[in-house]
Amino acid sequence: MPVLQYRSEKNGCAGLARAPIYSSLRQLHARCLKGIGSEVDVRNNRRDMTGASVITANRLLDGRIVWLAPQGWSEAIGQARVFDNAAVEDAIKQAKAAADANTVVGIYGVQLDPDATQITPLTVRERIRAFGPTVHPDFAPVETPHVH
Amino acid sequence: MPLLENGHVTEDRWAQAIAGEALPAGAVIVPLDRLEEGLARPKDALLGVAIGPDVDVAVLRPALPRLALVAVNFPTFRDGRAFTQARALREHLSFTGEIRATGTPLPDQYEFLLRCGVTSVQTDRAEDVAVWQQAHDIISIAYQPSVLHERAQGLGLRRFLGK
Amino acid sequence: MSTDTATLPVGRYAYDEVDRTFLSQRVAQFREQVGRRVAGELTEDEFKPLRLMNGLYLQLHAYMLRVAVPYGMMGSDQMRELAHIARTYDRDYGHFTTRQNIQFNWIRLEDTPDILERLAGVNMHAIQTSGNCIRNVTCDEFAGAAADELLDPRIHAEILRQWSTLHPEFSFLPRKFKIAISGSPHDRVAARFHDIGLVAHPGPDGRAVFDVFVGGGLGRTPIIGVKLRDNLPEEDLLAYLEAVVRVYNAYGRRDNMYKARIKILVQALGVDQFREKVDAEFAQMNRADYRLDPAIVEGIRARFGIPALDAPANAADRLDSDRKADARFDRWVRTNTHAHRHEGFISAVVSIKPDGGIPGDVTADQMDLIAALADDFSFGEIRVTHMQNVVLGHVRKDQLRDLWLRLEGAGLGTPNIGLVGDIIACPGLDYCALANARSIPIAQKLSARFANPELQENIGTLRINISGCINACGHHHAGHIGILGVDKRGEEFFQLTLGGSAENDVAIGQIIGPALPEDETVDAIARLIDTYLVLRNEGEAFIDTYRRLGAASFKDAVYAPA
Repeated sequence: MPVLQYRSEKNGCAGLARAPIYSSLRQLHARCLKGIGSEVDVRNNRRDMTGASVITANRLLDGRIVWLAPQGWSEAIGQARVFDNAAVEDAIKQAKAAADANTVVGIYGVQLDPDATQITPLTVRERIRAFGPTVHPDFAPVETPHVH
Repeated sequence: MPLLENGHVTEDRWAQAIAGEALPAGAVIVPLDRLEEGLARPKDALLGVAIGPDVDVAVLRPALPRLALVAVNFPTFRDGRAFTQARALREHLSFTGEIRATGTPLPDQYEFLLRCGVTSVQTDRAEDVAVWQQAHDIISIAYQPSVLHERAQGLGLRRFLGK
Repeated sequence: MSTDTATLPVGRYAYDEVDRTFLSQRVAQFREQVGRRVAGELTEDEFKPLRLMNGLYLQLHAYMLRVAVPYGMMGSDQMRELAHIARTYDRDYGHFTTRQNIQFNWIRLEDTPDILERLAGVNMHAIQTSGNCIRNVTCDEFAGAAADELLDPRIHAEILRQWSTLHPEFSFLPRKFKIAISGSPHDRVAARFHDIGLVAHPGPDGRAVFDVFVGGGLGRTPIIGVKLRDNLPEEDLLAYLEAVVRVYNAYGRRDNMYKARIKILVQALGVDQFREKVDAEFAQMNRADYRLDPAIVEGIRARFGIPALDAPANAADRLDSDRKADARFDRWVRTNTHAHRHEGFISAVVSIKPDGGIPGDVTADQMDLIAALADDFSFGEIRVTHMQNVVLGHVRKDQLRDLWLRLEGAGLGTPNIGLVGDIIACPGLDYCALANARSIPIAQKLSARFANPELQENIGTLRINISGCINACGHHHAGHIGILGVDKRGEEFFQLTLGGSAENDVAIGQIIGPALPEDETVDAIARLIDTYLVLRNEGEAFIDTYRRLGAASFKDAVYAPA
């Protein structure tokens, strides 16, 4: 079963089903903000100047989430090609212009968590996209080497 | 630019007014701000007017007896104001001339256009004209009145779309 | 065409061959549209409104298909087909929504025409469950059954459903458009939180008349709808609604999607000027074209099946003795039933909010069971509520305990309707592409924490609503306690509002203070409820204590360090 690598498990905010922590709100805010770093937009492909990203989309025919792999699009984020943020805009442009671009919908870049050991998005939203709904662990995407 | 009328591509007999130039002699479509100029032409010269989606068609009321065409516009296919304009032209102003849809309507909106009173569509879309015709033919029943006064089906407000 | 009234489905309109022809044509049309999209003839931008008009969204993990349950009414045959779709095309689940529909979260575009064809086979569809058009018309979940009802609103809801279906002028409105209709003096449809809310009652001649509210809504700018018109005659209903929606289509904002709902237009013009425009449009219309003749209404009414309400004379006594004999059953009857107009009958609410569960989620097996129970106990009729529960409308009082035992056996007997555990929650960030935060885990934790039925009943009526973003699908502004998920730099926070209500005492909840981190939220709400228990007067509900004392008394509880 895949483990959701929520940032909260490291720094104590926004955790899943954890024992409540009673500390002052201000301290918690400060800890969360410190942990996250600079502005990240969860909705589009804006991201940090530094760090790394992967490229994602939904497949047209079945809507499933896919990640741009060295060859084609993969359902597993573990297969994704990691781009330095300095290069990711060009890579997105190329992906949008590629011959297979019409097989996917909504290509954009996803900032990665620099502290994670595996390929892990920084935001909760993209972690849920990558690892499945938190309320149904049985619906998590299955890791396969298969690349479409 | 292809012109679609009654399911066929037809030749456009209308000229468009060109900004900064005098109006030509024949059938011409003028923008709303040159309507007075158009009306000043001889009474037998065919005149049409193109309006933006924000225009209240009631402003055309005095000119309508002289107008043979009103062009309504879809800046995007999502902007449905022209449906209301076309319907108001037919229903409230009893306009019987050509209502032309311009801009970027989708073929899938063709039946809606017709039922609101549009009679011709000017489009740059690449699909075969058959796609538009199909949008007209594929559904034969409607559940509300329209300006076409289709034959009532009997139950509720249903009517058969004349095909 | 079947004209045998004995076979008409109870509580909803019976399709005939013409309606079925229309549905199959609509499926064929969508199949063709999907074909053009896959062939590249339609861009995603162009295809999107076409698929939305058939209820198909592209969500976080997959396509989501929202199936219309017109005015919340369906039959057991339809529920069984939904179970089949859940098994075949989804992951064994369906999800009841806050607008009386059901949605499937794991749908493939390529399967959708086949799914719509299966739905059409049981006279169902997904038409206008999304898009900038007139959406599914919602209705009182106790319509045709409630003791307090003045007029069954479902007949007019069906007329509005038909009228709005593929409406040529109103399919590309500035934004979505939601209509609710009630026939009871007790507002169970949130009439004043809709684009148009209709409250029906009998006029002097016995025909329906309508009080028309306009411009209500939640979302980014919560506004309570204003009265536009009193006592609108039935025959003018369609003409008047045409006039309202036409004014909206012509003048509603299209430059900013967050300011495009009719409520913003009504606020910008002021209700008097808005009414002037509507009246001017109405005056110009050829009313004969739009006249809703009583014969039309009666023709539609005749397509509705009527339940034969025959109960033994001792049915009510039997229920009384069943309740005395079993305290757990008695509790469920107290919380999960509603008074019926017939003394031998009662309406039962099946909670789709098990302790710690996902609000509104049902498995395919549960759908089949609900269908079987509807057949055995309620004329095959099923109602979906805007609270994401299910109602069996006409249950004989002497059979209620048998129904409860079977619900209990299937884990569907949770006695929490209207209580802490009956939480309304949108799908949130676990599924929704628009969400900022997860709604379901908060609902699950609250529901598990307050699972004790005695504690819940002691706390009393308390409406908790959770939305995962400002679009407010969980109606958080209308909750006694509202919870709104917000995004702060990619992490989830939750903002609390207090004092909202969607009922007769309609109010918009007020923000109590800064948003809380996810792992603080449930504890803060628990402290809030503890505070209420300390401060309340005898028999006083949470909302009334809040109104008596104001936010200050509760603010400390929310933000106090332990």
